[in-house]
Amino acid sequence: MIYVYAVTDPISQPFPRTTGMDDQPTELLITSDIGVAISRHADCTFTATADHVCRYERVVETLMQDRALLPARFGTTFHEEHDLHAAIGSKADLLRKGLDKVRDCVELGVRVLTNQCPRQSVSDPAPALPTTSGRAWMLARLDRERQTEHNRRADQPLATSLHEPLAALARDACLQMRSGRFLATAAYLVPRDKIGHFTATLHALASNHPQIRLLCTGPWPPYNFAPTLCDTKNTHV
Amino acid sequence: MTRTISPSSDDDLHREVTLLELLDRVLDKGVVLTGDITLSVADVDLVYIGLRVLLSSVEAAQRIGAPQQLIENPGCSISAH
Repeated sequence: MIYVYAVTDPISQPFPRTTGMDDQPTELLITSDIGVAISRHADCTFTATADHVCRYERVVETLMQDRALLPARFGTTFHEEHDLHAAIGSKADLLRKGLDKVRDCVELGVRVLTNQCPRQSVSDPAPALPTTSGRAWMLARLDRERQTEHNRRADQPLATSLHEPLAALARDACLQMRSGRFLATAAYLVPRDKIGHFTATLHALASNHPQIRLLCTGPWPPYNFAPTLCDTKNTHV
Repeated sequence: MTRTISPSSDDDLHREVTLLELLDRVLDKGVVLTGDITLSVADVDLVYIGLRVLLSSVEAAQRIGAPQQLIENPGCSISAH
């Protein structure tokens, strides 16, 4: 079995000596002029535990230090090498374009938390919906969803005003509105030489908007900017 | 390992936030090379629980008087570990 960590350039510089899942050594497989970081195992069913996820991420982050890469979805496996060759071969052009897009960039994540929601313990459940009848429950649920959507639309201008100056510093960006305490989450594909400028801008935005808090994480591998290649069917084991 | 860009002195909060952000990415994002992803998970919704823990962490940080702005100062270096 082959466990896949990332797609990368088939460059000549030495592949880092790292170990991945089950402490197996990682290697670079070259196919269709694309590099694929893998490790080999008898069995590739790895539970998504904190340890496994961190091992996986450690490999990906080691590689991203000196090369462009597209991280693979956790759990990407192939039974045989020829299956991997076939999968890469059919998507080689898209993968090369994807690598060019993320080259010399990292992903920075931003979460916007609003201070304006009333303080509420995370364990407090939402007010119970009526249980007098199914119709009453559905109407109450519909009303709650409408209120959530109304709040999202009301928060959109603020989220956009925070997002746009950051997106201007990025090669690509995506913004997703949330509800409740989280106003929005965003990811930015930022050139490495603009990280300082990005965080300075973030700092300024936070200063100018005391009603919100900004939580920035990274640098990440470009998870949110990997190309969409096919429909996914997740098999939960 | 990617580190949270935050000046908070709460290392536990850092670790929780980083792990939650990581889970949010590796389990749901990234390039999909095949139509099937074999993902062995516990019976618990990791991301949902993760977000609740994140909210708890934010609340806990507020209770202990964590800095108002969870923002890094420019120039902070990020190192792998």
